[in-house]
Amino acid sequence: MSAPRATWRPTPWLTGGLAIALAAGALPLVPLAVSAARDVPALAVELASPRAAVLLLHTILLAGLVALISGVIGTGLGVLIGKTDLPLRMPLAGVLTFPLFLPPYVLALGWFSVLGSDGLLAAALGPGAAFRFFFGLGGAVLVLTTAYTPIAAHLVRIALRSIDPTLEEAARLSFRWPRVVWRIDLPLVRPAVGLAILLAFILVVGELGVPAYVRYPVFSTEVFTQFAAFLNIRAAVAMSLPLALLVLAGLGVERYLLRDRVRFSSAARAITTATIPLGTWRAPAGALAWAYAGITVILPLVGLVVRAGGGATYAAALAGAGASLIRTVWMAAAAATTMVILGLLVGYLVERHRRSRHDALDTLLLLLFAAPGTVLGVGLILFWNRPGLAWVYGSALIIVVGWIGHFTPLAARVAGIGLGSLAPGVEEAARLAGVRWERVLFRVLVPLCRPALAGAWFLAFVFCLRDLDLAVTIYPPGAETLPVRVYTLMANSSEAVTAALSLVMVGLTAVVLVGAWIGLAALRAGSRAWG
Amino acid sequence: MVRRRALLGLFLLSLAAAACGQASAPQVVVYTSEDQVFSEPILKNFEKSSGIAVRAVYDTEETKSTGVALRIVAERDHPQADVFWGNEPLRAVMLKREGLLQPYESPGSRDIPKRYRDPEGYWTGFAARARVIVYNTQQVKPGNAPSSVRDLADPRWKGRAGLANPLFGTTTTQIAALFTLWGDQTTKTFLSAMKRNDVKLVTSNGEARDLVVAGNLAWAFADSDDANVALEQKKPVAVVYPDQAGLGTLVMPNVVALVRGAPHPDTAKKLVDYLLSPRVEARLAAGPAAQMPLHPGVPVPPTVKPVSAIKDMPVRFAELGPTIDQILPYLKDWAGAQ
Repeated sequence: MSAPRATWRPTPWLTGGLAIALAAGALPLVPLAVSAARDVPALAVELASPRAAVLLLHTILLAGLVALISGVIGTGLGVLIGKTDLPLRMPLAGVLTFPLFLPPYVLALGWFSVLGSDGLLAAALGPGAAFRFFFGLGGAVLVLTTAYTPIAAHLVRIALRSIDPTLEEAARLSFRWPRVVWRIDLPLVRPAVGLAILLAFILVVGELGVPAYVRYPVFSTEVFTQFAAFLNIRAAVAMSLPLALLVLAGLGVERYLLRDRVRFSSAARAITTATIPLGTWRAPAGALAWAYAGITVILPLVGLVVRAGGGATYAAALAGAGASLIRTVWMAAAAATTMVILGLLVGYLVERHRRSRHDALDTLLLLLFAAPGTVLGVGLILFWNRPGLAWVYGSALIIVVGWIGHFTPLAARVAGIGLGSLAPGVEEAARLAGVRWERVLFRVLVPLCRPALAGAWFLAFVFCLRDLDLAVTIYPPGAETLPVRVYTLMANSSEAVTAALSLVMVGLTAVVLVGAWIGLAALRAGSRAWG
Repeated sequence: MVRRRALLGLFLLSLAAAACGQASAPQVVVYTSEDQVFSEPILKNFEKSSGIAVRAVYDTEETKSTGVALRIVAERDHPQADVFWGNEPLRAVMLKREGLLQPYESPGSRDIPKRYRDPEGYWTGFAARARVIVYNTQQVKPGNAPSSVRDLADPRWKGRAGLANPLFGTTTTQIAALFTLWGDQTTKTFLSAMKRNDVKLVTSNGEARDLVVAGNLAWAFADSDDANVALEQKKPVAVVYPDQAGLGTLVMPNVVALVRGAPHPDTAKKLVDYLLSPRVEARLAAGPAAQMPLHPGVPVPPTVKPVSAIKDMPVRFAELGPTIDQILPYLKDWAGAQ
């Protein structure tokens, strides 16, 4: 028995969502890629050179190490925060989020203020030793692991909240908590862990600022050199090809590792999740988690605070930043909201499709996310900078469009984690009852996926807020975003002002997110009061 | 339901607001690679004095973004910029060669020495900087300080000297100048010797200066404005104008140019005229950039030498274009092998 076709028509919604996401991201890239393909044979010799091989190996080593270390540490922290009675776990989650607010280059500045010759730990470690460690692979791994561990921690925390507690309750009848976590929870959150590792890998593959700063040569330098030194757009895009292949390889590894993943399902959203009592381990685990936060987050921030000095530097840093801040926040919020809507539709399309189509669509979307911001930016310029479209290209809308094209795949993946945890029977029942699909979407799927959707919005918002590569390439004259302003002001500002600018960015992002959290809590309370 | 509609309305309003970025008042669009801390006050002052709104795109190679020159190239079919304000001449030379600039001889350019102007009027220099040696005074005594670009290859400084990556920024100009003055073979031999001498290649002049300030390098090449920032902050550094007994110090002006097909040509010319005025040079000289005026009679800050007192490297910037084409692939290999 099937429902009347008139009531179950997801296709226009889903294809519409996919079309918008692809129009924002893929459409500008396709002509660029086609024209660059002509340059690939000419660059083949360069791509096959020993130097290119070394740079690629460096990229693989760095991205692999950061992805693995951040995945392992992030998963541990995610379980501790999301599942246990660890002391002060919500403040810990907040503290661990700070590195996400900053472009990694700024984090590198923070670490330099700790490990540099005159840094906070120079005396303790010996300036030579700290310096030698920082400038090279060690420093790059340290900075980028600090930057991307919060992604794993938050994704795991979100995934744990989506687990049907009855599964754990059933397992608890026979096993103790460590075994339940190992045999039930961790297998169920494998997609989240896999996504976090993949995201970290992709982000490091495209990273240029940190490796350049710590003088660890990687392949993305080749792309940058074609852009900035040769002003050769086609060659730069062609040189991005090995990076795209690396991303595909990373995706292949993720798919292989998740080939037999447990698909978990819940028919209703958990009101409360089961909490693991740590007992005698509570204090040591808390100390360990807070020590990690102290060393990787608080220490670099303290380094920046010491470098920033008194209040006058903050006043100098804040002068003229108000418009950039307001502009960045509302643009990021608008883009993140659009991305969550599109991400839900695209995520549904991916999750509910046959395996082969699922994989193809997922691959295409992740390539959009992995495209270097500068390449996507140039594609957007070539696509949107034409007569009649000045209302897009000449306005802040171009940044919103760019962010949607770049980061919707991220929102779709996170939304997909939520959708993947839902039993298909819920939809089947609604379908058989003749309920319209739109109604099921808004009344069933959205409420059940709320943690994943909130996570998708948060990640999308933060990625927009900290984006530099794309925004600096396309921002309309006189309408720079906050990271662009911070970066362009850093050159030849005093190191105190530079440190203050970084801290201002951290502080303001924190204020915005806390404000959003309080606002949402108030809305929820109001909604409950109205029944 | 009311709340949902209100949120939807707010969301749509924000998207509509994003699309409303176009101002109708007189305006000029400038793309500048001059550091924002130096250029923004100048542009604000122009805005105040002329009543013309300035919409600026700032960029910096300090933090590895690809630069406004690339954006002008990408926008070539429908130019958005009116004025290009570069912090050195080389990018303007490349943009001219790409056919992306248009000639304009501003009244303000007449006093600028010819060697700092494009002979066909496509760009004009103003407010110069010098490529100087910055050394750490706690590590190097003034009597032993390096005094020549050739010291980069001197074994005395093995592993202790630094230079920004020559593929980008003013270091490209410096190396291109050496190629034109020394010739291909001598310069390549010198660069090989530099490599053997373990010269540290860093991401930017600012970083080179910071590493000298921190004592991680004994000395490095930087631009005079980078050096001046450290001097003003009383850091333990001193400055040498290199090769005063030989080749001369490279003096590089800022450049200003009109973009071909500029959407606001009239206001663009006003901005170019303003930037080429002695009062702008005076402001740039008096500010933290301490840039050296090219107009005669403009006061020179005490921390830098006047251009007239420097033995200037005899390089013609307008002639660097073909050199750049030849040397960039070589420099890419050279820098990549470091």
